Amino acid sequence: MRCSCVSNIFQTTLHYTAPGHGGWGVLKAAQLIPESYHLFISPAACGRHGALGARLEGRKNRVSYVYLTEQAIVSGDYEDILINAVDEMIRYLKEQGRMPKVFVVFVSCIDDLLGTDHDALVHELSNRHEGIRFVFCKMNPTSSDTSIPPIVNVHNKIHSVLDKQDEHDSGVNLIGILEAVNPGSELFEVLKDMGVCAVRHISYYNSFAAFQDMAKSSVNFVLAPPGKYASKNMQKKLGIPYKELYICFRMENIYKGYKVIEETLGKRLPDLSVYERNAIKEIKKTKELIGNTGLIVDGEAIIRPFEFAHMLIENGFFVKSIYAQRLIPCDTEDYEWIVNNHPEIAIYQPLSPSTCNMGKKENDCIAIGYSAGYLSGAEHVVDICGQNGLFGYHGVSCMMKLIRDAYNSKADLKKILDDAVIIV
Amino acid sequence: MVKIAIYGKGGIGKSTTTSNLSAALSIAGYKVMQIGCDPKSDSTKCLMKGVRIPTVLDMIRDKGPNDVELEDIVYEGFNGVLCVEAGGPTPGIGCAGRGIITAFDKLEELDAYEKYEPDIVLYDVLGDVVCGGFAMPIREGYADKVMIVTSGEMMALYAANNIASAVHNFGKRGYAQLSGIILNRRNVENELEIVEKAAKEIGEPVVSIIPRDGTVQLAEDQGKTVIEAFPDSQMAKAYMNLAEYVMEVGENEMLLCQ
Repeated sequence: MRCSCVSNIFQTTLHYTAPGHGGWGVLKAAQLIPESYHLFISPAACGRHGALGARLEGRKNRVSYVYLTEQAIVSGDYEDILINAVDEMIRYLKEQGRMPKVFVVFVSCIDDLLGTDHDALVHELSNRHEGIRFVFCKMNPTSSDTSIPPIVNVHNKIHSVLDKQDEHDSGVNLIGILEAVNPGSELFEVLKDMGVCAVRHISYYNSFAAFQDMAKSSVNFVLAPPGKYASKNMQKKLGIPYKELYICFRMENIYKGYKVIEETLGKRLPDLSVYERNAIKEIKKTKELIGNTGLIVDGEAIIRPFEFAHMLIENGFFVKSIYAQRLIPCDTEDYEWIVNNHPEIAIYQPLSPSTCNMGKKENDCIAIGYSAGYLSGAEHVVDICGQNGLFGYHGVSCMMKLIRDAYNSKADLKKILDDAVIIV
Repeated sequence: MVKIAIYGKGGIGKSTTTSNLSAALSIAGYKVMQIGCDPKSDSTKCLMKGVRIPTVLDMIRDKGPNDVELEDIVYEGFNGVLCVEAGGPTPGIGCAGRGIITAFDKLEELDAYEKYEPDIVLYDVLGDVVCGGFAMPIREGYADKVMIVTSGEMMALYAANNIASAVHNFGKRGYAQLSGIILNRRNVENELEIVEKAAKEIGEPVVSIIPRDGTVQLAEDQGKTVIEAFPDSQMAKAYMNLAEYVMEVGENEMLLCQ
């Protein structure tokens, strides 16, 4: 049974974008495609966020912008402007000796209203520029509440340039997270022990040719929901089946995840107890250090915030509040567990305008994530955004160390946000 | 599966012609899906006993974009004809073209064609190819063929010519091709000669002549097609003749695909 006071908290309303809100944008995600160049065609203001991020992170030499005018929208010149801009850009890149292998055209919400036929444009551009792959990506926040919001779409697009291979090897792909799993994770040892020849993730590749190795893998492990749509399409196009292996923190869930791997690969799991013991040791060490210090969990930092909070609670930590903008299906069970067993835990939507009035009163707490840190006023902030590659037992251990580090020092949140290139 | 888009000037009788064509094709044993692409959303009314069905956009509005199911938007009408209405925005507000795109995207997302496996899909499209949204039915992956309904009236012919130009312009993109002109008579003087002359200029034959007859109105008053209400009438025969032509187009198209 749900508690009536919280069951309807996940509302769509006005959004307040606090300085701590942000993470991987669609441009940064698409720039993971090796040897790719990117062109936005949008009103000028729509380019601001991506352009600043690219500038600050040294990615600006791989993106350009065409600013749309009223004239272009109403006259039917839009497609010609787009084609001419691509031609001009490719001419320039050729002169510079920087011919891309993949050219990504980003369109905005305006394009949705114009009803542009992207397939036809890809065909035309491919004929004009042999040897370059063209991909249309969308930066259209109006699709946020649909089944294919921008970030889901971009996960799909970055893998859409993989070509079907004649044969598959014993390699596996990790899909759904944009930052690779931390190389210290036991996942790599476990998979190697089970005969997997390579663990592949888009961020490992610098060349487009090498990136095609991902199409050789025999299975896609989907580590987070945004990768599911991409994996479904990869199954259709490349013949690579997929399995959901959503990142989690509870010991029993981590073990279940490894059992999924065992079942999928048809190979016996190695002994995982040493990894589990280490994680439990780290949990105890952290609990001993921080005692009853309140923890504030942030859904922008952790893919399944309620599952993570469940782990903290069952290990004796004091979870004071959880920030989650929406409830994702794979987190529902843990959400309900928390609502039913710990109704005292406050649940906030970080983008709700009501957060402006919260007063930053949680000074003595540890916030796990940027929005939670900013909105709560916590003096201690765990520097993590978008899961940061934490996975499995090792992910738990790393998280515990991050919590201890945060506890031992007062956070300079502005510096943390600047370093993470969070742009408001 | 063969997909045909029916275009023509507003009020020329596209929905009447399309509904009767759907009914006639269903009598001939084909599984037909008719998709109304007009914000008025009255294309399939005469296949549904005069009742308007909820539109795709209505359901998206009511249930939310992610909770709409095929059963909410596909309705079985006369003789098993599958009826869909794309719908549109509140009159005077919003973007009707975008509405068509959204409705088509939803049908694709829900695998409508794969689930129902119709032999023939008929798109009943509003007046003219006025923007990207209303060009959607003739894009690759949607209609294979376009048929234009016209009378001998000047404005109807003007619209027919416009539609033909748009289809020709898009031809290089692999969009649908023209597949004949349907003369829906208004009893204008020298109507057949006028339309045949226009058809020659467009480069397409007049493939069917639908007489002007009060039977159509009588059937519509009952909320039915002529095929359903007056199956033995001359008008029903005219629609059956049109259906035979469409079957021929369909068979040729399928042979081409094979």
